Amino acid sequence: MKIQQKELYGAVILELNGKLTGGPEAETFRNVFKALLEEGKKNIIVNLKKVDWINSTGLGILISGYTSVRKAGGDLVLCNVGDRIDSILYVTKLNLLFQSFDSEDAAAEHLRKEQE
Amino acid sequence: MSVSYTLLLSVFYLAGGVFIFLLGLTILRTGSGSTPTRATALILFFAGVGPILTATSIILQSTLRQDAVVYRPMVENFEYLWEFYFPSLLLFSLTYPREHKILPNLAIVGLILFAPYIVHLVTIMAGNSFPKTFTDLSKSLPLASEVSLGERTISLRGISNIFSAIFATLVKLHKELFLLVNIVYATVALFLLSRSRKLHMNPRITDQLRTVVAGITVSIIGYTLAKIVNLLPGGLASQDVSLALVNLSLVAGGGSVAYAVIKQQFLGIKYVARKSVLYGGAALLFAVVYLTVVKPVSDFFGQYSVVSKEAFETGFIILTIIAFQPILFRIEEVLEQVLLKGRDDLQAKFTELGSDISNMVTEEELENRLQKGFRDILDASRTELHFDGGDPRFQSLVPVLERIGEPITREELIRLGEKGRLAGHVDTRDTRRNRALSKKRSKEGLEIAKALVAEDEVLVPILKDKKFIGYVSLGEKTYGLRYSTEELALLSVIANQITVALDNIRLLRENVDKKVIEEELEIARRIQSQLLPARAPVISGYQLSASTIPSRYVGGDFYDFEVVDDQHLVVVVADVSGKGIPASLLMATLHAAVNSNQDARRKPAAMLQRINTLLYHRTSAEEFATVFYGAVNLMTGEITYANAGHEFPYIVTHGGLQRLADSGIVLGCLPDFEYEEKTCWLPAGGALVLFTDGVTDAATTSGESFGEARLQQVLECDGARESAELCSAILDKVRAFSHQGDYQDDLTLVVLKRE
Repeated sequence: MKIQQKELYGAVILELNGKLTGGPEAETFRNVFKALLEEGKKNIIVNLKKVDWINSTGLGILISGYTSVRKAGGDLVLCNVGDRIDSILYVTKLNLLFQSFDSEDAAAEHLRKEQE
Repeated sequence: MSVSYTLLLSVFYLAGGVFIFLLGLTILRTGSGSTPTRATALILFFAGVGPILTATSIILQSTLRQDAVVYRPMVENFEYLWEFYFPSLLLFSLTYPREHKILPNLAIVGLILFAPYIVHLVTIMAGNSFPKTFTDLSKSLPLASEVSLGERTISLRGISNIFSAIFATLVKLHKELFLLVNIVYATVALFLLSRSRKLHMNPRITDQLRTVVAGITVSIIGYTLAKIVNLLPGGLASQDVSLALVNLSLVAGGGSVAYAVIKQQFLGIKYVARKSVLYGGAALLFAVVYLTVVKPVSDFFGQYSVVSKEAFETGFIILTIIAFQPILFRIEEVLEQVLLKGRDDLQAKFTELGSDISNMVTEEELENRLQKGFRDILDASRTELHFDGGDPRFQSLVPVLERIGEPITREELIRLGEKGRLAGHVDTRDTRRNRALSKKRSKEGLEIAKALVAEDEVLVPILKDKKFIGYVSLGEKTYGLRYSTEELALLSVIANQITVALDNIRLLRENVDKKVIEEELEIARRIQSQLLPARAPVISGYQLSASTIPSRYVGGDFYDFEVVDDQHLVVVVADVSGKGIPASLLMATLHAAVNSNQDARRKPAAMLQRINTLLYHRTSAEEFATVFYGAVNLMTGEITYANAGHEFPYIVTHGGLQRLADSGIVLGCLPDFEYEEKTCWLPAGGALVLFTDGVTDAATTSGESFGEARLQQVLECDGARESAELCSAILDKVRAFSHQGDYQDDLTLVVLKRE
């Protein structure tokens, strides 16, 4: 899994590419989260456009990321979620945690409003 | 010429020739068998043949006086054999230090190079015998025999004489002019080697090439001078000088090549020299004994016809052949004992070190063994093993070390820097800008080299598939001595072995890691299997079957059932996040939570709520579980259930499939989540099918997963069968679909059938 990082309207966008499952990549993802929080960046958009698969470890990482940014007073939202992941989020009802948007812009806009 | 002077001269030539010849033989026998080695052996053979033939010719001229007439043509015929030295030299220049790229087939090229010399040899042999035949022929013709050609008459003998003279002149001309071919061959060889010297980066190879170029230059000058002297008037004396010059040129050329090849091919130089001295000495001894003892004695006895001269000499040769090997062996033993006290054989020690390091288990151990080895063998004050991640500045030296590929001393590295060759990858052929960049980079390279290797005497790059993976640095020798060429050559062999050793260490570690993981998974598997119910309870009017296939990685599937107060059956299917031991421990927590809440046994929503709170507080944020919790009223078939993010179960009836698609969030994420309780009804003949995502996610190697649709197909098809049959029908379909691939996740199925 590859992670690309950019910023939009004060939110950090993490664009993931590949499978969001356990293993060394998951560790990288955890570290990225940690580093962002240490920098005080707490509004995060995870772009799942190029993620075709997620397993329980991957979900766990997202949940943990969500929990920590919420504690820091920020938010974590998803965008460009594919059908497969969408149905997982539906069954697990994790869509109650993660708000999901059709585009990075819409997600950033939401976070901006939330901050106000 | 006095006999003693002739003897001395011939013995000198013989010993020199035999020494060079045998050096060639030794190189061929002990060398690496590479093309340059073989070309060197050829050079030395032919360079040795020159002095040997000269010596033989001198001996024949002086000692056999009257018989000389018989033997001389034979000697003269082979006198030109040594000239094969020149094509050998050219062949060598094409193969040293590396085989020339433009050569598609060395054997054919070699043949082409040698062809003119074979023709040359044949011509000379013909030239030596044909004039005599012509003379004999003309003598046999009657003086009067004539041929009339129109009005003129020509004497046949005259024609024969003319032909004979023309042929003799041609051969003589050929003999004299062929020296030009020799000089051209040698010059081309010289040109090729000088060019290689400019192209090569490795300072040691350029040093060796310098020696070869110098030797061949001397060889060409000597040979040319010899031919010039030969043309001068002066008779025998000039002939002697000419011979001496030819032999000198052969020794100079052959010697320089031998020196270079011995150094490059890692033959123990002392070993080769010792062998050659031994062989040369033995041959000399043989010649001296023959000339000073056997010959006079045989001559003496021959005078009185006591024993025939031939028989005596044959006897001596047979005796020598029989005695030669054992005597040689003894002499060698004695020489080794005298000259090599303590057998300091560097090669043997390096071999031992090499075989030792291949058994090392960790990098530290490897470094320690190298430290000890290099301290003992080379007196290195310090040895360090460096891998990637060392000084980042070192990266700029990497391309250079990669190209050199062999141990390099600090001195050599700095010399390269001063020549502007530490620039790394800059294409200097291109623009002026690139050249300027190269100059700048090279200056930086030199500075870096000076700074980084200030303490190191030698750097041994370690390459894998020609890529730099690290290096060994050696400190100064304890006694301030320099590292010898031979030591550096052996270090380059060790470098290859270090590559192998590092590979071994990595593989070993991977194996150990793998074993640890496997052991952990085994523990996880054991925990899991102990938590699952050993068998399904027998309930009248119902069939209950459960089946689980643990994945290779041991996921966190869990199921449980218990009959409570004789009227209710509690069915739980869960899947905890993660894999391996963490998943198993989470599962154990879940198991404990389910079983310790006896009050809430029949209240699914309350049960999930309690477990949710427990997991939220007790486990890390990453850990969660999906749980389907159902309580079946065995009398009515009514199912009260709550779902925390688990795969929606199916109810299979005659009428079709019903999905229990109500659920709340997975357990352990939101602390105060209110789970909803729902009810549904299991009619007679119907089945409740619970499963984990391992079933629907089971995938083929190409990544296609089994999916809901296929599961529904099986349920529609086999839904009326007994619970155990339905269970195995589903698992069979999943297995057949995924070709029994490695399941990424556990597969769990629970089927409750109402009769």
